[in-house]
Amino acid sequence: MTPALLEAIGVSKTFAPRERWGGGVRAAVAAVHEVTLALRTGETIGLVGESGCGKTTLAKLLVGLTAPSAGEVLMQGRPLRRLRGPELLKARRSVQMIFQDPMNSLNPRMTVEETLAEPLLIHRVAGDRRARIQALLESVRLSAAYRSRLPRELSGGERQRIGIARALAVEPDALLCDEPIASLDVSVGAQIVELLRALARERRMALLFISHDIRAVASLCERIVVMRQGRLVEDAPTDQLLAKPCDPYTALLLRSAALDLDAVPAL
Amino acid sequence: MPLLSVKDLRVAYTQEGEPVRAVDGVSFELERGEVLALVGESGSGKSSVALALTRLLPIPPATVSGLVRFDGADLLSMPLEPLRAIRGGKIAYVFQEPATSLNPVLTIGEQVEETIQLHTGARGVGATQAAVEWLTRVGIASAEERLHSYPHEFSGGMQQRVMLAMAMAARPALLIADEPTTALDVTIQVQILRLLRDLQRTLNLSMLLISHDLTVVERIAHRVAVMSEGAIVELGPVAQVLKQPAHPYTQALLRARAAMTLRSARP
Repeated sequence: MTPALLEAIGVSKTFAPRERWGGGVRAAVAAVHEVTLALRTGETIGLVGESGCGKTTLAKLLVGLTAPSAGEVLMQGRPLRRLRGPELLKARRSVQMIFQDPMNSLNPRMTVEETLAEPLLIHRVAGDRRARIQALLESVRLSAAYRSRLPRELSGGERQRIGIARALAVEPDALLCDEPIASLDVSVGAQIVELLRALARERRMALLFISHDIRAVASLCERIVVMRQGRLVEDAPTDQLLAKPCDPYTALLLRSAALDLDAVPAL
Repeated sequence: MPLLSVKDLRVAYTQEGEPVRAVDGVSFELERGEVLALVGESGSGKSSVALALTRLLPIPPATVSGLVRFDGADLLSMPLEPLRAIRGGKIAYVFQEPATSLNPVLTIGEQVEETIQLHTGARGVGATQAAVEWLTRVGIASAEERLHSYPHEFSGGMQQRVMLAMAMAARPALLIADEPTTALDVTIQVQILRLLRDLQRTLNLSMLLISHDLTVVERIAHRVAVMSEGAIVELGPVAQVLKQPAHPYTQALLRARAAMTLRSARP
C-alpha cells in the first residue's frame, strides 16, 4: 500500500506549565493526546469537536507549524521532523492549508494577483504566471476582474476563495481546512463547502475539513473523526457515524446539532 | 393592542461621506407572549433594528426615524430619563458575546444585584436573595457561592446564563435576544435555547429573537421576519415561511440550510 499523504502516529502536544498572572501556576495542558490518523489520496475526512478540544493544534502539528511533544507526523511516509531544505519545501507543497479568518490570513497590502503569485515564486512553479493566476481565479469561480483587488475590497466569501486559490497554486495533494466557514454567513458557507467538494473531486485532492459544525462536516466528508479534550473518541464512515454513533459524546454532538430542545433536560 | 408596534423604522449611517441606509422602512408588530424572529445575513440590518428600538444607537452618527410604540409609550420621542427605566427594565437585552457584555472587574453578584436594584427597587439582602434565585433559575449550580466569582471564572455558556438572569431579574415584558447562542458550542447552544424557550413560555414573555440560523428560529419563534438589505422581505408564521418561502432570498437561505442537514441523523 502506498504511504498516506499525511499521517499522525501517536502524536501528542503538551503545553508546559505556566505562571499565572497574579500568582499560582497553570498545570501542563495536553492539547493533543496520542492521536493517530491517516489521510490518503482523494480521501475527505472531517474532524469535528468543540472549542478547545485541540482541533487547530492537531492541524498545526500535521503541517509542521508546531512540533509534537511525542509521536511522529509522516508526510508520504517520511518523518516530517527530519525533512530539511528542498525536501521540506516539497513536502509542504503537497499539503496546503486554509484558515478560519481569511482577512487575517491574507496580507492586507497585497493585491489578489500578488497573493496568488507568491506561492508560485516560493515553490518555483514553472510556466506563464499570468495565465496560471487566471486559471486559479477561474478554479475558485472568480473573474479576472479580481486580480487588482485588495483583501479589504472583498467580501468574506471572496476572501476565502482567494485563500483556497492560493493553496491550489502549488497543486497540493491534500488541503487542510481549519474552520473555513465558521466566520461566514450560512449561505456563503454553503457555497464554500460546494466549492471544496467540487475541487476535491476534480483534482482528486484529499481534504481534512476541521469544523465545530457536524452538519457541515457530514455534508462534505466521507469519514468523520470526533475529537474531545485532545483525544480522538470516534472515527467512522459518515453514514455509519450518523446512523449509529458509538461514542456517547458523538451521540451528544448529533443530538445537539439537531437542536432538539425537548431532548435537553429542563431546569 | 400589540405590546410593540414599529412603523417605517429607518436607520442611516454615514460611511466615508456616503449615507448608508442600514434599516430602510421596517414595520412590524409584536403581541404579548409572542416570539418574533428577525433573520438575515450579516449587514442585513437586524441588529440595527434591535438597537434603534430603544435608541441605543448613538445619534449622531446614526440617524433614526419612524415610530416605535411600546406599551403605550413612544420610544423614539420620549425624554431620556423615562426611556432609561424602560431599557434593561421593561425591555431587556441579551447579546451574542456574553464575555464583552459583562464587566470583567465586578463580581457576578455585584452585576446581577445592580440590575435588580435599578429595576425592582430591592436593596441589600433582598437584592442578594433575588440574584441567587435568578441565577439558580437559569441553571447556575451553588449560585450563592458563585456570587463572588468573576466573569472570567465562568465558561461562555455560564456567562450567557448570567446575562439571562440579569435580563430576567428586571421582570421585562420584552426580551430582545441578538444572536444569543451564536458564540457558543453546539452542546451548550441547545441548552441555552431550551432555557430561553422555557423562560419565554412560563413568563409569557414577548421576544424579538435575532438569528441567522433558521433552525434556531424554527424551535423558538412563532413568526419570522426575513430581512435583506435593510428591509423586511417576508413576514409570516414560521411554519408557513419555512414551508412555502415566497421571497427568493428566503428560498436561498432554506437551500443553504438543506445542504447542511444531517439526513441520516434525523429520526
